[in-house]
Amino acid sequence: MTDFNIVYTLALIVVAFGAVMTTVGYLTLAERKISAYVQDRIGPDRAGPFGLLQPLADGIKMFFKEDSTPKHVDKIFFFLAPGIGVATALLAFSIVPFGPSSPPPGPVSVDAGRPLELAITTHEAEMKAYQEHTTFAIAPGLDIGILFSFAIGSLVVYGIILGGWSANNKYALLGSLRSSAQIISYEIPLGMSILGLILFTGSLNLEVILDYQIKHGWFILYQPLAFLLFLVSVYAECNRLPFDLPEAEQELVGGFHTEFGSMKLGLLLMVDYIHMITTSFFMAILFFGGWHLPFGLTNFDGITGLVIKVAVLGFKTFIFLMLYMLVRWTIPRFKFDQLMGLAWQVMIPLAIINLVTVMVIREFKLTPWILTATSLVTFFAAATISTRDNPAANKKRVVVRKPEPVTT
Amino acid sequence: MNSLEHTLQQAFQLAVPEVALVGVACVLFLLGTARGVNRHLAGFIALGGLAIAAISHFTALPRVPGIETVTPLLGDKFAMFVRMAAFATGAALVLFAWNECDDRRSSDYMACLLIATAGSSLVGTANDLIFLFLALELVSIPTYVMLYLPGLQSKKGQEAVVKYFMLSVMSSAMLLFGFSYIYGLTGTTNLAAIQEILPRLVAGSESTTAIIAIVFVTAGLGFRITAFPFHFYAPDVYEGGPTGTVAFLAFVPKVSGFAALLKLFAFLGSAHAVANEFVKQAMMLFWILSAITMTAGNVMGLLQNNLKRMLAYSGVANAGYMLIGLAVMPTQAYRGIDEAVVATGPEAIMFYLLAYGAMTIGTLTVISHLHSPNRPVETVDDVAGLRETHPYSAALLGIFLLSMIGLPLTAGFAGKFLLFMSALAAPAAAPMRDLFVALAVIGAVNAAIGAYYYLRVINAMFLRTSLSAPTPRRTAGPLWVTAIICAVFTVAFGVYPLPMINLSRAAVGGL
Amino acid sequence: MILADAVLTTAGVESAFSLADYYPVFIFLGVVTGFALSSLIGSQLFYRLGLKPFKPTAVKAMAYESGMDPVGTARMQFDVKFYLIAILFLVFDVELLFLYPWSVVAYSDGSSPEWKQLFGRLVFWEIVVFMISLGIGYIYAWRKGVFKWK
Repeated sequence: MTDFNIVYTLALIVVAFGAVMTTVGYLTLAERKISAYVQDRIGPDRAGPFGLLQPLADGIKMFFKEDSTPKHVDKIFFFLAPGIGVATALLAFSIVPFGPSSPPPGPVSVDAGRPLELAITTHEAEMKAYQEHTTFAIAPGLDIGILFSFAIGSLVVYGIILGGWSANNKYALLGSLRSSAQIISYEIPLGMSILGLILFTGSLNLEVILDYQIKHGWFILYQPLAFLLFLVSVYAECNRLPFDLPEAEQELVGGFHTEFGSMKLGLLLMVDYIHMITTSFFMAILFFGGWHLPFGLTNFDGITGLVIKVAVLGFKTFIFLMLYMLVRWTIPRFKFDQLMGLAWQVMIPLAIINLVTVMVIREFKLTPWILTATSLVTFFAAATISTRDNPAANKKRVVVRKPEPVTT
Repeated sequence: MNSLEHTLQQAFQLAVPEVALVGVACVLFLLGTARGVNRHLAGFIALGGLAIAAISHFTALPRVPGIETVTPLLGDKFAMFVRMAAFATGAALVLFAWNECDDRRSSDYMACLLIATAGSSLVGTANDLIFLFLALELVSIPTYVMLYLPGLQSKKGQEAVVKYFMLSVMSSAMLLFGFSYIYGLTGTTNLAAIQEILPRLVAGSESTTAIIAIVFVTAGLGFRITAFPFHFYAPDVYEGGPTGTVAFLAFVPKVSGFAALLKLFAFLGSAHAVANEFVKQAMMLFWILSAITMTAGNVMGLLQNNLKRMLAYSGVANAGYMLIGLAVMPTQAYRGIDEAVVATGPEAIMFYLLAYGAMTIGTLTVISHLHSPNRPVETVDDVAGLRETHPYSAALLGIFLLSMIGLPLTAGFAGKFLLFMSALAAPAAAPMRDLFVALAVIGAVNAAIGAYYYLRVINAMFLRTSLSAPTPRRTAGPLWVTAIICAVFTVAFGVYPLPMINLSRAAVGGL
Repeated sequence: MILADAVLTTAGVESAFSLADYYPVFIFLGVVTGFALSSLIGSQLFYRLGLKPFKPTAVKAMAYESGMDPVGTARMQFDVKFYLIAILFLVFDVELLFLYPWSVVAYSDGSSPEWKQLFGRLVFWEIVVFMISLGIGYIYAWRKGVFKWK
């Protein structure tokens, strides 16, 4: 695609950037409101009607608070870490098609029925059609697609580690250590759960993956286990509860951002929310068919179709964002050994089993519906194994003796 | 049948013995985590693995040779020679290290040993730069673990591991850098293709780049064969490392290093017509390397009082002798086809490698047998009066040391003779002929210098009296088996070397 | 409109790699870097403009340890487990790196049918062996107690 329209790209960047930033702002409000309702409070309601201007007020506050830099910090990294975090988190968004999309054309085979010249003409026609459609991804048609996003997204861990280390504070160091161990551990099931989809689509491009789902049905139907693994992994990648050990307030004050203040803190807090938005889009696009609805509900053309498709994708993403909020107030935080155990002893074996099943089904050309069954069976088997009474653990249980009555 | 696809599919068949070895190693690794596994079980499984590999070598050999410039693995005579040498060494070292580790760690140690054996065997088979590098790494990486596993109480042991690890990693980097130049020059990673293309390129303006490549590859492999400027780790690692691993280190990296050198630089033997200047430079490089390495090894060996340090420098000196064979390799091209010689350089290297392996592993076996924590056998003085206290050990050690000196009727003599003769027999038409005669003379002088420090040990054993007798371990059966096998090899190759020479000749014939 | 260069591969005619695909990424990179730096620098600039307070005290300059005076330094040793996890991560991540290209090519129409016919099943078994060797490493690590955080 040598066709590169700088004006259109810039416009798209402005729209995407603005939308993401606004969403981040209102996510903080939503978070606080939902927390308030869960805890039977009212939540922020002073700034504007229903507290709708609260994000704006927060932003202004962040800018105008004193930016205190403690004496012992590593100045350069302390200054740069929030920037690295937020820049990489935003950059990962660049491949997400946040509206209707069509896949870039695949190879046109050359055979007896189609000589080379015809194949080239066909290819050119397909390319032309692809380039003329309205794209909603900042960088459409990237072959590496989702891999790019994973690669850039995991660079966020540098922001966290550098931030925690440069702060020269024990809480911050512990927080960033936990964070790095957690993020790299959950990176593996995250990557593996996607492999099952790639084996079907044969491309890492999100538009192609979406197109496959439109033709063959959403992936959630075939690969519920992969979806569950993906969901849990991205929760861990975003440092969201129940995986928010890096910033566990009760034990580590603020974790890696203990020493940060003012706009530096603001940027660091933004990182998680940007990540949430990106990953919600991923979940909607990878497993829930993106802008597509079954039974021809999204079969509209022109501007109506455009609006409906954007709305459908937006709604799906919104659902996942709300899920993030609700899970926060539903599941308590893990202990660190549980967190690592979940990644290494549960999710990675499950991901491998899932991958092997997909592999076998693709190799022997079986129907993908087998996957649905095996996914569920695997999941329930794993659940049974992990929740059954563990005799070894019982043996080690400490017997608590009653204290001797004190006689005077 | 001789198609591209066929060749690629056949490559799998060629690696079956190594795959079997690695598979058994995996079993050993897993077994090591189970309770109640002792070192005898691990040792027997390791020997079984080597047996399976040896058997599958004969059953899985492909009938039809593949296309040389395509296949990543090549099953020629050279590969088979290296493979058999590696398996035999592997078996000897399994016996050597039988009691080296405690029960808990033994299976891990044996697994590492098997993987390293598979690696050194693959070096001979490799026909691709990438494969060659992977095979060399497959030898190095388990070595770090093997240096560490038998227990690290001493500071010296820790120093040995760290030193070896750091320098080995650096040498791998240099090797890769050299490989990248070769790839950049020829545009292929296939060794057979490189042998075709490189001689034509070095005739032209690419000569400087090719020299850089050769220097870096030699530096990287020089670490493995302990050639002169890269030998500094050897004495410390030998002194601090566990003896079983030291025996491994003394021999296996040398085999793989020389095998890789011979494979990479085989083109020097037939390239004179187009690349005279370049070949001269390469010859000069190896000439200098050889002369300095043997002189440095022997002179430093004179100063040593510690037996293992002495053996380390002896290893350096022996690498120097073997480099003679590499230096004279390019002169082959100047020889008439029917002109008979005692041995060409590569043949002499292959022969001497085996002889050196037998005598070094043998020496270390005896030292390891005599050593005990309460009465360490580390310095020359510790073996004083061994004739009276342990006559059999003294006799065995005597045989190995006499072979190291190069007295007739030992393998060491036959090997040195072949190497020096290969230098003396450089054809009159070859460039630098006089220099090769000089190299043979330097080698002979060095052998005389070396004799001094070996004789010191023999002198101590046979002519001095002991203050306190060494207290060897009781469970030494496997060690004795290794020592006796090594002694038999040492004497047999010395008395009747012809079959072995023929084998070496057949092996390098295809290069 | 300039059309992309087309190349003929084993699968047929497809568009060649073009760096132009990545121009939007570069522009976006510029935008996000600009955003991050400008908020950081802007936040600092506000001092100079006198828009925000700047009152450093000795207590503010201390490392925060819940109100206590900080004890020792934060540059401390930490558990070797973290290193083990990092090494294991490397193993598994490199394995993922191998699996990604395979998963893209294995069953897509991006590879020629002839090669698929000749090597398809072979590659399948190779990947099975790869996964088994990975599984052996995984079981080894598990049995050696790498995943135990006690």
